[in-house]
Amino acid sequence: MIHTPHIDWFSIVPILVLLGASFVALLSAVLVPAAWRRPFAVAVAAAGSTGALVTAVWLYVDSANGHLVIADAFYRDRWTALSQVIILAITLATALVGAEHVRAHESEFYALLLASAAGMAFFVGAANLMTMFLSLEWFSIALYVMCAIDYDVEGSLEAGLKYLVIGSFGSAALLFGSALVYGSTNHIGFAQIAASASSHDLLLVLGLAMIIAGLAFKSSSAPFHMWTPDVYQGAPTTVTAFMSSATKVAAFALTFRIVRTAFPQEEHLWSWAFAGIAVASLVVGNLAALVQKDVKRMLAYSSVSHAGFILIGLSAGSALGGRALMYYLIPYSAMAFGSFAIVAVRERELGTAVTLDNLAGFGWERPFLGVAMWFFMFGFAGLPLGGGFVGKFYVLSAAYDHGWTWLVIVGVIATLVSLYYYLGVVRAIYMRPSAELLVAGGSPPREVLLQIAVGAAFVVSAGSLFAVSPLVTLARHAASALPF
Amino acid sequence: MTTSSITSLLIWLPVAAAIAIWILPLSRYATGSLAVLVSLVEVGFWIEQAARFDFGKHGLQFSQDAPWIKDLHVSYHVGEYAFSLWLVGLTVIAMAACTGYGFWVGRDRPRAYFGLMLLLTGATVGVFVAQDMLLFYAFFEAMLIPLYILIGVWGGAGRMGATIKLLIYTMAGSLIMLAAIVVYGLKVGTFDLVDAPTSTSRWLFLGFMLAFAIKAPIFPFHGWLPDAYREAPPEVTAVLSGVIAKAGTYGMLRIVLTKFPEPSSYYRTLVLALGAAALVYGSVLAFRAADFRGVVAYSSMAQSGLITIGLFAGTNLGYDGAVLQMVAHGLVSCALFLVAGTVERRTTTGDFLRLGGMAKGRPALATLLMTLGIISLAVPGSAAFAGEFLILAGSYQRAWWWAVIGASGIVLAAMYMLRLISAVLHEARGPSVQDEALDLRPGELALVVPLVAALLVLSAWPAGISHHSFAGDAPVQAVQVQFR
Amino acid sequence: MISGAWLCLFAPLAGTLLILLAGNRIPRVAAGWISTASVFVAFAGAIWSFFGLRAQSDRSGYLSTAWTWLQSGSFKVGLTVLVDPLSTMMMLVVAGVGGLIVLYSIGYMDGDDEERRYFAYMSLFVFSMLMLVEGGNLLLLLVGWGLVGLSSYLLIGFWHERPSAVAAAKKAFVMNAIGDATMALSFFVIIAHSSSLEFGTSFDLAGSLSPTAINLVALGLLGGAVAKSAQIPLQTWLPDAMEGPTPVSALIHAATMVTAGVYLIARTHTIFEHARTVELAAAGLGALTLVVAGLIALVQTDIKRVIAYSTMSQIGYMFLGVGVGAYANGMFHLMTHAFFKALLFLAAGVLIHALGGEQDIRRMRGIGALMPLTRWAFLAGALALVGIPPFSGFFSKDSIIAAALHDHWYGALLAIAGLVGAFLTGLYTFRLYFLVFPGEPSAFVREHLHLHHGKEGPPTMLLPVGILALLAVFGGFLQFSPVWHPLTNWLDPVARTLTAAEPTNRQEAISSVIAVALGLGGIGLAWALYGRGERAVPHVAALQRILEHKFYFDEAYDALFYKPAAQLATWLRRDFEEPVVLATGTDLGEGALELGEGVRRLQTGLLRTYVLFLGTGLAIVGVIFLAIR
Repeated sequence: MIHTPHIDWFSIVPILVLLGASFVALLSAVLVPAAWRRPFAVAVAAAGSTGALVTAVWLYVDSANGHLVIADAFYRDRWTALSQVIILAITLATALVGAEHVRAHESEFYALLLASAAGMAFFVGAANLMTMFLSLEWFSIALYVMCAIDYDVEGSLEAGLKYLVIGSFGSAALLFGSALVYGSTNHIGFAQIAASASSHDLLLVLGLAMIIAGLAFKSSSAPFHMWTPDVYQGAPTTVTAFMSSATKVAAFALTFRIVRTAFPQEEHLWSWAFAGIAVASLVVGNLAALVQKDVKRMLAYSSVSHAGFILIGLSAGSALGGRALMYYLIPYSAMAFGSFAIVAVRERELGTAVTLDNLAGFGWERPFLGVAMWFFMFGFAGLPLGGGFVGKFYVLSAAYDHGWTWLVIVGVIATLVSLYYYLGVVRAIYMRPSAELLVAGGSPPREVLLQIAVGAAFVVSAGSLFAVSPLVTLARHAASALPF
Repeated sequence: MTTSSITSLLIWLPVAAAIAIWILPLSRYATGSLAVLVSLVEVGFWIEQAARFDFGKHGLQFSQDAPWIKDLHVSYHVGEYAFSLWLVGLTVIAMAACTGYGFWVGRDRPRAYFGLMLLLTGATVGVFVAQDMLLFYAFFEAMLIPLYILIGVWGGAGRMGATIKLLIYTMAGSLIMLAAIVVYGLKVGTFDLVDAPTSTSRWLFLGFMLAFAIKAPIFPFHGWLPDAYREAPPEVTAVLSGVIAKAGTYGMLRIVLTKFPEPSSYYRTLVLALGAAALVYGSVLAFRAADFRGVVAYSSMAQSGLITIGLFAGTNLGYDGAVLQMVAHGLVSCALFLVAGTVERRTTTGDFLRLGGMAKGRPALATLLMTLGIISLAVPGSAAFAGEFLILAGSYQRAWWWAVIGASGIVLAAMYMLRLISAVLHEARGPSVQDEALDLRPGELALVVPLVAALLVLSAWPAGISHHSFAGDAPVQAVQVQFR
Repeated sequence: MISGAWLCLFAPLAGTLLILLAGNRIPRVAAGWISTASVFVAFAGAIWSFFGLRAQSDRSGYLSTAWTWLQSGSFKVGLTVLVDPLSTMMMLVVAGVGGLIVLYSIGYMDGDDEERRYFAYMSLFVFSMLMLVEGGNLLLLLVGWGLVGLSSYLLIGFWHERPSAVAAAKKAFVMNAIGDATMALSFFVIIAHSSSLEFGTSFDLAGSLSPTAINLVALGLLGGAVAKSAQIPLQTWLPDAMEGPTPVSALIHAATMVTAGVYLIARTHTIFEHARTVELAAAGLGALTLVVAGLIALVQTDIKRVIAYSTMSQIGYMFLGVGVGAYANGMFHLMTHAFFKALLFLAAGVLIHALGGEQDIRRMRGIGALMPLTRWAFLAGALALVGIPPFSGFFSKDSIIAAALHDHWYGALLAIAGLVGAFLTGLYTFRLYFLVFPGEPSAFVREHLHLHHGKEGPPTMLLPVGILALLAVFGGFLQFSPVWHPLTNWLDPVARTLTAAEPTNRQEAISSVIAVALGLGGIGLAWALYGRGERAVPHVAALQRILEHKFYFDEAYDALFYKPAAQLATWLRRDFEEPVVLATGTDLGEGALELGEGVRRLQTGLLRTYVLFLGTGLAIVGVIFLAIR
C-alpha cells in the first residue's frame, strides 16, 4: 500500500487557483457565447491571478521560516512566495493588456496564460530535480503554444516552432544534467544532493554544467539566447511582454535556489560559470542591440544584456547577491513588461512591425505612453529615473563584495554601450518629426486596461527608486530562506 | 547639527512643480508663468537660506539625513557648506533667468519644456547639496535626463548627434565614477560623504577625476563641448556652461581633493598641466572660433581649466579664487549665452561673417554685451578679475610657471573677447543684420540685467564670496578636515 | 581732506552712471554738461584734499578704507584711497586738465549722434584715472590701471563703424593687457612673500627680498609702465590710438593716462631703488624712445600723429628722469607736459574741427592767417614743447637732462640722448608749425574752412585752449631747480630725489644752455627746410622709408607673435581638435556599431546555428568545469 504524504494544501493554493481559473477560461470557449467570451475570459483571468496574487502575499507573510512540504518536493518559503508575487503581478498585467490585444482564441489564450503562470509558480518552489523539470515543461509547453497562437500572423507560428525545437534541446540538457547528478548522488532532492555531493565527481560536475546550460537557456543568457530575438519578435507582443518578464523571474529565482541549495560546494565552479555567461550576455546582447531597427528585436537583445546584469549578482552567490537578484527583478520586469506593452500599442496603431523609424512622434501623439516609454528606456539604461539604477548599483556592489572588481568594470562599460540604443528609442519617440503614417485602426483606441497596466509598471519602476529599503527588506527575507 | 528641510525643499519643489505641469492641462501662458514663478520662489528660498547661513560655523548646515538603502549604508543626506551655498545660488538664479528666457521666446510644447527645465533645476541643486556619494551620483546623472530631451527636441539642426555625444561622453566618465563609488563605498563601509574617511587609492582618484574632468570639461576631455554648446537652445547652453559645468569643478573640490588627498598631491602636476592646457588651448581656439557661441564655448573651457588650476594649486588663495570664479564665470557665461540667443533671434545666425555693426541704434544690446564681454575678459576691478587674480596668486605659491601660463591667459582672453565684441557690435553692418532688427526688448532686459547687476555687485565686493566660502576662510585646513 | 579724495574719486563715476541711466531722457548736450560738472567737482575735491594735506605737518600720507574689497584668509585688500603729496598732485593734474578737455569736448563733439556715450566714457576714464592715482594699495592701482586701459579702448574705438578705429582700440587694449599681466605677476611675487599688497608692507618687503625676486618684481612693474606709457618695446599702439576723437587723444594719450607709467615708477620707487639696474634700464628705454620717436615724428604727415610721437618722446624724458632717480623732475615734466601737450592737441583739434576732420598737414598750409588765436596758442605750446625759456617745457625738461648728467658715463649717455632729443623736438615741432600756419592759405583751406559763426570755434573750445595756453606759458615758473623748488619739497616725503640725481648748478647751467641752443638749432633747420613749405618730408630715401615704417616695429611684431599664434590656432583646430578630440568619441561609437553588425550576422535565423551555439556553450562550460573542479 502506498504511503500518501501529508499535503500542505495552503502552500499550493496560488497554483490551484490559477489552474482552476485556467480550466474555467478554457471551458468558456465552448460554454460562453462568442460575444461574451472575451470579457468573461479576461474577468476570469484577472480574478484568478488576483486571487493567486493575494494568497501568494499571504504565503509570504505566513512563511517566515521556510520548510519543505508535500514529500519534500516543494519549498514553502519566502523565496518562493516573493517570486510568485512578482510572476503573478505580471500575469495580472498581461491579462489586462491581453483584453485589448489578443486577436483571437481569447479563451485558449487565457487558459494557457494561467496554466503557464501556475507552472512558473510551481517552478520557483521546486525542491527536487523531478518537480523542477516537470514544472519547467509545464510552463514551457504553454508558452510554446502561446507564441504560436496567432498562427495566421506571419512569424508567430515560426516563433512557436523555433521555441519548441530549441526549447526541447534546452529541456534535454536540463534533464540529462539532472540524470547525471542523480547518478552521482542517488538523490533528487536539492538538500540531499548538497549533503552527498563531491565536487570531484565527474558526473556531478557535468550534470551541474548541463543544468546550468538548461536554465541559462530559459533565462535567455548568451550563448544560449539565440532563440530569443526570433521568438520575441515573432510572438504576439502580449506574449513577448509576459515571457520577457515572468520567464526571467522564474528561471533566475530557481537557478539561484538550486545552485545555493544543491551545489554549495561547487560554488567555485558555478560562480565562474555565471560570471562567464554574464559577460557573454552583456557583450552579445548590447552589441547586437546597437544595430537593431526593429524595436521588439532590440528589446529582446536588451533583455539578454539584462540577463547578464542579473547574472553578475547571481555569480556573487552571496546573500547580497540574492538580494540584488530579487531587487533587480522587480523594476526590471516592470520596465520590460511596460515597454513591450507600449510597443504593442504602436504595433496595433500602425498594423505593422514597430521600428525606430515609424515610432517617430509617438511621444507627442500619446503623451502618457510616451513619458512611460521614456521612463522605461532611461530606467533600462541605468539612469536614476527608476529602480533600474539602484538594481545595477546593487548587482555591481554584490560583484565587488565577492571580490570581482573586474566584473564591476565590465558592468559599467556594458551600461555605457547600452545607453546608445535606449537613447535611440527616446530620440525616435520625441525628436524625430512625426512622419505621415497611415494608421491601420483609424484613431488609436483608448485602451484603458492597457494604460492601467503600463501605469502600474510605471509606478513600480519609479517607486522602486524611492522605496528601496522596503523592497530590499522583502528581498532580504526571501534570500534568508536560502542556505548561505 | 540641526536638521532643516529647506534644502530638500529647494530640490523637490521644482520637481513637484514639473510633475504638476505635466499633469495639469494648463495653457501655454499659465504653464510658463507657473514655471517662472517657481524658479523665482527658488531664488527667494535661497536668499532666505543665505541670510540664515552662519559663515563662521564649521560643518554642514541646513542638513537632513534619512536612510535610503539601509543595508549598504546609503542615505538621503543633503546639506550645504558655504561654497555649496554659493553654487546653489548660482544655480537658482541662472535657472530662473533661463526659464524666463524660454518663456519669453515662447518655446513650443510648453508643458514638456517647462517641466524639464524645472526638473533640471531640481537635479542641479541636488548635485550641489548631496552629501552621499550615491545620491550625488544620482543627481549628477539626473541632470542629463532633462538635458538630453531639451537639446534633442528644442535644439538646432545637428542636435541629434550633439545630444548623443554629450550623453555618451559624460556617461562614460560618470559610469567609471559609479564603479569607483561602489568600490570606495563598500570598502569604507559607508557612502556618506561626511563620514567616509579619506582613501589613498589612486585608481579611485582617477575614477572620480575622469568624470569631473569630462563634465568641467578640461583638456582633452571636451570632445562633447563644441557640438552641444552650438546645437542646444541658447538658454540650455547657458545652463550647461554656467551651471552644469560647475558641477565638475565642484566635484573636484567636494570629493576628489577632500577624500583623496594623497593621490591628489601625487597627480597634482598632471592635473595642473591639464588645467593649464585647457586654459591656453581653449583660449587659442576661442580666438579662432567662427561664431558667437563657439567663442564663449571654448572660453568656458578655458575658464574651467583656470578653476581647476585654482583648486589643485591647493593654496588658500587658490581655493577661494576658484569658488569665486565658479560663481562669477557661471553668471557671466550664462548671461553671454542668453545674449547670444537674443542676437541669433534677430539675425538667425551667430556667424561672425554675417554679423557686425549691431551697436548702431541698439544701445541696450551694445551696453550689455560690452559689459559682459569686458567682465568675462577679467578687466581689473571685475569679479572675474578678482577670481582670476586669487587663483593665479594661489597657483604662483605652488609654482611660478602656473602663474605665468595663467597670466598669458589674461592676454588671450582679451584677444578673443574683443574679437567677439567687435565682430558682433562694431564695424560695417553684417549681411544678416537687418536695420529693423530691434534693440533688446524689456522682457529680454528683465532676464539679462539682473545677471549683470549680480555681477556688478560681485565686482564691487568680491570678498563677499572669496572670504565666505570656507568656514573661517581657511580652505586648506577645511579640506584637510573634510569640511567637518 | 580724505572726504575730498572720496569726492574726487566718485564724482566722475556718478556722472557716468547718471548719463547711462538717463539715456535718451536728457538732451545730448546735457550729457556733456553733466560730465564736465562731475569732473570739475572732482577737481574741487582734489583742491580740497590738497589744502587739507598742506595743513598737515606730517605729509607722509593718509589712508582711508571704504570696505574690504577682496579678501582670502590673511590676504586682504581694501577699497582704500591714499592722500599724499604724489597722489594729490596727480589728482590736481588729472581732474584739472581733464575738466578743461571735457569742457572742450562739448564744443568739439557737438552734433555727433552718440555724444551721450562719449561723455559717459569720458567720465568713466577720469574715474579710472583717479582710481589709479588715489588707489591706496598696489591692487587698486592695478584696478585703476586696467580701467583706464578699458576706457582708452572704449574711446579709441568710439567711432566703431571705422574698422581702423576698432583695430586700433583692440591693439591698444591687448598691448596694455600684456602690461597688466606682467604687473599682476610681480604682485604675485610680493603676495607670496608678504601676503599683502599694501604700499607700506610691500615697500618694506623690497629690502628683504632676494636680488632675483626684487628684480623680477621691478621688471614686472616696468613692463606695465612701458606698456601704458607707450615706451619701446610696447609703443606701437599709441600712434594708432589717434583714431579716437581729438579731445580723447589730448586727455588720455597725451596729458594723463600715458604718463601713468611715470607715476607708477615714482610711486613704487622704493622697489626700483632696490633693483637699481632695472630702474636705470627704465631710464635707458626712455632715452631710446625719446630719440626714436623724435626721428619718426619727422616724417609723419598726420598732424595728430606728429603730436603723438612727440608725446612718446616727451614721456621718454620723464622715464629718463624718474629712471635716474630725479622723481620730482620727472613728475614736474609730467605736469608741464600735460599742459602744453593738451594745448597742442586741442589747438590741433580746433583746426581739424574747422577743416571738417582733415588731418593732413600738407593741405593745411597757411591756415594761420585765418585762425590767429589758434596760431598763437599753438605757437605757445610748440615753444613750451621745444623748451625755449621762459616757456614751461624749459624748466622741466632741462632739469631732467641735468639730473642725468650726474650719474657718470651712463648718465652722460642719457644726457646726450636727451640733448639729441631736444634738437629733434625743435625740428619736428616747427616743421609742423611752419608747414601749417604761415604763408598764403592753400586752396584746400579756403575751400573747406568753415568757421563757427565767424569765430575760430565755439567758446567751450576756445576757453580751455586759452587757459591751457596760459598754463603752458607760465606753468614752468612753479619750479626753477637752481633757485626755488617747491614741487621737489612737496614730493619729498614720498619720492625723495636720489642724491645721485641732484645736479650741481654748473651742470644745470651747461645742460640748459646746450639744450636751448640745440632746440633753437632745430627750429632754425626746420625754417630752412620747410619755411617756404615746398616739401613736407625730408628726401633721404633709405632713412625716410625706415622712419615711415616706424623702424618696422609693427611688421616685426606681426611676424614674431601674431602670425605664429594665428598659425598655431589654425593648425590646432585643423590637425588636432577636429581629427583627434572631436572625432575620437565618434570613432569609438562607430567601432562598437561595426562589432554589433558582426554579432548580428551570427543571428542567422537557422535552427542549426542556434543548436550549435547551445551545444558549444554547454561544451565550454562542461570542459571548464572538468578542468577547474
